[in-house]
Amino acid sequence: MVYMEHINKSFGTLKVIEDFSYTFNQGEFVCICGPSGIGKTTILQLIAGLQQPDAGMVQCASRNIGYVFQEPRLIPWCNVVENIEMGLFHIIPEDPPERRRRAAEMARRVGLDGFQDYYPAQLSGGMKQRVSLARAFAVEPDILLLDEPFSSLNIELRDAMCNYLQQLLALKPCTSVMVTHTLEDAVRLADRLLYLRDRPCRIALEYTWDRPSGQRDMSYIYQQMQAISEKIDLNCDGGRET
Amino acid sequence: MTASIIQGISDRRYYILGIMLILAGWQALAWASHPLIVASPGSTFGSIFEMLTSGELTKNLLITLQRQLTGLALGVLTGTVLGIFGGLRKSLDSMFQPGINAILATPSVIFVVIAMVWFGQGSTQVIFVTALLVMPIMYLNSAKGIQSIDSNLLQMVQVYRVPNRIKVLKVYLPGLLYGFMAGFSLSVASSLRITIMAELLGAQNGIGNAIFIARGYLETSKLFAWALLLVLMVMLIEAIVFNPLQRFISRWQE
Repeated sequence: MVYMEHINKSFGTLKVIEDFSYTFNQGEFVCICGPSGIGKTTILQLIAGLQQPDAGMVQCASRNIGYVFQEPRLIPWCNVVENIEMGLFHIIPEDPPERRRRAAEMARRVGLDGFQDYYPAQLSGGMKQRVSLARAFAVEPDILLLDEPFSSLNIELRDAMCNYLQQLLALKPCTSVMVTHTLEDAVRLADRLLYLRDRPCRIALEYTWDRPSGQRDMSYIYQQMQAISEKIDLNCDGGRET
Repeated sequence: MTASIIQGISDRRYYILGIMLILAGWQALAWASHPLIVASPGSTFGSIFEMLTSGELTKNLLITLQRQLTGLALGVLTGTVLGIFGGLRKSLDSMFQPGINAILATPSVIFVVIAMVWFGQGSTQVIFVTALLVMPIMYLNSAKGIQSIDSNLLQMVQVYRVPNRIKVLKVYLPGLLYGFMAGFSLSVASSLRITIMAELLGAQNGIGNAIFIARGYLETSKLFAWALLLVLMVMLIEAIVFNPLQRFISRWQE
């Protein structure tokens, strides 16, 4: 569970977030959509503690956070296992073999078996992002933050990454917040969608689905995408709708 | 793989061709001028052999190397330590910059003269000047190495609460290493040049002093012999130390 209460956040004179309150429910997958620069990433960074609010409070039930950044953020001179291991140092500080074993196991789970000794420069874009995903899940997170994790991938890789993400979430359910520009990803993965608008940002639309994420076929996804797009257009100047 | 081997052989061939061209040009120049102005490759190699058999080469080489390595070590140590602080804190970097710029902007011969006033002629003066002039090179490169560490990586280690010890080992030190290596390879060659210049002006022995004496007696072939030996020394250091080290630290870039 993550509570954000009356958050204000400015960068210089730019007021990005003002009096923003929202509760991310335990175990729920929430997607945040909205125009570029609206403050979506700032919300993730506030939850992760990478930014401090100017006012208000962010409260997380746990500090065990997995973060998949927009770019994989792998250490170039560390191989796949060593990169995944970075998340495990504070969880398993005293047992390096166990840490290695768990990192190698995570590499295997995201289909990187046989690539454990590879350096990031030797991997494709999709593989690097899978390492980043494995690193996030290696910590067995209670809160998973994803910042446009598929934005640099083509459609096929995106599909594969969505599948890996769903498989990992099935093994380790957690409260997940994903920032995305792609409605399709949101409809496919999320339990709830928040559409942000304006500056300082406000929630223009909050949307939930009548089918769980595992039971949404392509026709349902496209139908829902259309419905959401219409609602977003309608709600441009309106209030929050659920 | 095969293509890169063929490319390697072909590169090597051109490298050797380059050396042959220098030797040919040198010989042509020697033929065209007086032996006191340009010593021929033959007489230069003869002088090297002569200095080797008389023990002059080994004696001066050891003295110079000792001074160079001491000065280099001191300069590298102070420059790197200050560079780490300057790289980590912008305010410290701003504070160190005037001093660094002053050292870099001053002709090095002035430091030799000042050091001769302070320490007299001899090893202390040479070591002091070498360390002083190596220090800014190491400072700038180390600070740049630290500053160029990807801030995204620092954010990542913050999210995953990576312990400080691991942060230093896995992020800061490797980041520093690239700046350090660039600075160190520059410093090794520079320190040899500086040591010899300081010896030439203010020491009673060492290669610099030997060059000074050779010039005084118009022993041009000896002058050329020392010049050639110094070039070979720098090339040797590159081949046996830097290239393997560079290959080792850049293995993840392949």
